[in-house]
Amino acid sequence: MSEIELKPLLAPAVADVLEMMFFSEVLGPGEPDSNANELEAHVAFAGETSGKVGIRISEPSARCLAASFLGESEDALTGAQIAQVVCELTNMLCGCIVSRMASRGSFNLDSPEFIRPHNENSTQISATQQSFEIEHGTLTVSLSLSASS
Amino acid sequence: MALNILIVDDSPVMRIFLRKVVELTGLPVGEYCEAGDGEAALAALRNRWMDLVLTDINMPRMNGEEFVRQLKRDEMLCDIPVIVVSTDASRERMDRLIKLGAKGYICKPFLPETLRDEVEKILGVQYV
Repeated sequence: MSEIELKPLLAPAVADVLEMMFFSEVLGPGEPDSNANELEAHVAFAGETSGKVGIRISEPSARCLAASFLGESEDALTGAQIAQVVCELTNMLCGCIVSRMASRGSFNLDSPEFIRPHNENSTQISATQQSFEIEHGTLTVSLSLSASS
Repeated sequence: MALNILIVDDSPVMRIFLRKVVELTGLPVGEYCEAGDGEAALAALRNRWMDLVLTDINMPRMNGEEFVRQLKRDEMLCDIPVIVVSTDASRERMDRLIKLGAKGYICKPFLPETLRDEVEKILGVQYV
C-alpha cells in the first residue's frame, strides 16, 4: 500500500479514539515536535498486513489524556499510569488503523511497547506519519508496513 | 437487580477505564471484581458469583480465547455471559470468540451507549 492510500487512515482513527475513549478531540493539524518531553510507544501487528504503529506525544498532552481516560486529576497520576495510558492509546490506534486496512482478514497485535524519553532505541520515524494538535501539545502517529505487505 | 461485574484485562489503566465506562452507562452495579488474565478470572469466578464478564483478548498466562473456552467447559460457570472488549476488530477473531461462547464483542473505541445496549441485549433486560 502506498503512502497516498495509508495517510487517510490516520486522521479518522485518531479522531475516533480521542473522542470515544479519551473524551477529547483533535484541535487541528500539528507539526512534528522533537521536544525532549515527548513520550513514545509503538505496537507491532502481523497478519494479512504486517507492520508497526507508533506514536509520539507531548508529556503535558499525555498527562491530560491520562487524566481524562482514568477520571483522575492530573496531579494524582503517576508516571507509570501515564506510560500505561500512552500504551493503551497506541494499542487502540493500531487496532483502529489496522481494522480499516484489513477488515476481513485476521491480524495479531503485539503488546504495546513504551519507549522512555531519550532512549537510544527510540524510533526515528521514516513511515507514513501525521501530526495533530491536541490539548497541551502534539500527537504524531506513524504507520510503517513490512516489506511483504 | 444490581449486576456483579468481573473486568478481565492485563492493563490496570484499562480496568479503571472500563469501570468508569460502566458507571457512565448507568447500569446498576453491585460489585466489581478485577483480574489481570484468564487464570485469575477463572479463580475469581469460582469464589464469587458474577453476573457478567468483560474481557480483553491479549493477556499473559491465559488469553481471552482460552479463558472463554475454559469457562464454557465448566458446568458451574458456563452460563455466565461474557462480552469481549478488544482493539482487534477482525471478522475472523470476532466469529471465533462468538463460536467459543462469548455472548458479545465490542471493538475499541466504543461509546458507553454501545456497552449498555450490548449488556441489555445479552441479559434481555432494559434498565431505566
